[in-house]
Amino acid sequence: MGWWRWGFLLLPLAVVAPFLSDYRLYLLSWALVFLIPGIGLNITLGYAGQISLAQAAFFGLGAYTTAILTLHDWPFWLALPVGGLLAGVCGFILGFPALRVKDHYLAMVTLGFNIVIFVFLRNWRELTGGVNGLTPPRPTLGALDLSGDLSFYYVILVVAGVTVVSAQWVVQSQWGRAFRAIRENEIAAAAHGVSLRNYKTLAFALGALYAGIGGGLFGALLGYIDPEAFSLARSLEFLILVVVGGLGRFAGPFLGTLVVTVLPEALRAFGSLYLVIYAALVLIIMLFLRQGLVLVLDGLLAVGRWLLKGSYRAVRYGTPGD
Amino acid sequence: MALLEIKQLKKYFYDIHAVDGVDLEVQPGELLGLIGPNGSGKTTLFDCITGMQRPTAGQVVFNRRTLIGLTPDQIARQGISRTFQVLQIFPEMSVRESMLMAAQEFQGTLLTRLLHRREDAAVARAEHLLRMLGLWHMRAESAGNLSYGQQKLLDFGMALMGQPSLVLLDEPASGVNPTIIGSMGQYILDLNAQGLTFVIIEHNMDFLMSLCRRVVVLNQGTQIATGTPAEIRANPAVLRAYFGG
Repeated sequence: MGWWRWGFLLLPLAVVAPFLSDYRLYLLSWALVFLIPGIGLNITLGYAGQISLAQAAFFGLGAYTTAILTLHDWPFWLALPVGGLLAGVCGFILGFPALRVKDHYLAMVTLGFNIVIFVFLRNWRELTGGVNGLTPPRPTLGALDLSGDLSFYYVILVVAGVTVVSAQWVVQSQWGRAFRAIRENEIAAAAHGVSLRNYKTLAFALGALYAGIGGGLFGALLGYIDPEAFSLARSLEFLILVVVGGLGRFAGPFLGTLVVTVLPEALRAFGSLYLVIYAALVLIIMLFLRQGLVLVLDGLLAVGRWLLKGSYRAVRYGTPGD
Repeated sequence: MALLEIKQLKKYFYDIHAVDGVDLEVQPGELLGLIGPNGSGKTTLFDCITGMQRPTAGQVVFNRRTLIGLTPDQIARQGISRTFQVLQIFPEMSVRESMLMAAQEFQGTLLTRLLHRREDAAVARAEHLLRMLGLWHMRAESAGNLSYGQQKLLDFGMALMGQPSLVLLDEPASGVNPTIIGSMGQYILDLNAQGLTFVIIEHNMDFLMSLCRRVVVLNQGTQIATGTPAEIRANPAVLRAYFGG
């Protein structure tokens, strides 16, 4: 069990929020919005082993669907799940090419899909506003106005909490096991009755669903979206997020999110050098911690356990829960 | 009525005739040996039965249902399980979880596999099999950390987790130490006595001949002999295929 425990991780974030400066609160909101598609991509790529360079496309589909619907006076609480579902259905469809191609070929297919969605968002001006973008509103709940920075932060936090708990349930279920079986050995998985069609499309659909939900929050957080936010560069950012954090480990996207959202801000003091330092740091992480930053966490946990109990127990890579 | 019926099965890789018109019937409860020199088409035959290869021509009927056109996972769920000559395991999964993985797709639906978290029957079955195979003390170890012989045993155990009605074993004894080969053979005989049907490819003749009541010999993609172990040993065509001349 323990699938709900990860939800507690977000509790301190609820407590500290009122004491943060506007800037820090915004940064934390931004990080939580990125955590959601990160957790999604970790299911597709980390657990099921299916490379996807289309996460930004699903992020965009969710953002635009939610924005368009709320601008047509749909309640945010309906528009957000609809945006997630639409992205999820597109992810399901994109799962079918994954039945025919693998690895870098699959990367090319998903990359192409991202470009198609990008062009579609930019050129269908009547629907998407083209390069001018859209200005989605923030939600209300009955008479309660949730558009303030702090109250919208709590909206994001709740959705992130649901994401974390539900994703943890999935990866600990037999679905999660089937995903890992496919990642580790497709032939063996099929020989033991695992339907590659069902589980690969599911892995894509789930990853895209979370991306779409994150996208809906992203639009409302910024109050403005344009196609540039959902280009291939953003997909690469999500890829860095899950790889640097640690693929197929539940803690991976949490750490990866910090690298992608908080680290660049922390390096801002270096001015124009910041990108160089950022790239160098990411490179160093990947060179020395190939399994990602979760290795640092494993080390710290092992030391902590040793200090507390005097016993050392290594955390096994790929353990579903951690 | 045969459990498995193979009619005029052919598998050509361009101009290589890996399987060239094999007819074979496997009766329920049979323990059939399949031998032949390297490259005689034994593994390709298994691949065609289990959907890993699409036959060029011919028919494979299992329990009166044709298997041609089904995917490997669909065929597995019909009740045919197999092991592989080149090991196919889940290296990063623990031994115990590998066993549960090999069972989970054979019960419930896609939805129950998400919602239901208890799998007591599979857990009990996995414990029984792992103890029998001498792998119980390794249950928490990653499958990739086992020795080659232990991985063969794990693969064998996983093949039994789905409660199949036909088990295809591709060289189960190669690389396994002789004591364990003996107990594996005894276990195969026990399961067979309970009605489970086996087809076994094996180069270890002592092992195979002690198990099987009927042996089929393939050479260059065709069946050249069938009979009891004693008949096969005395068959001149078989001797020619193995030793030339």
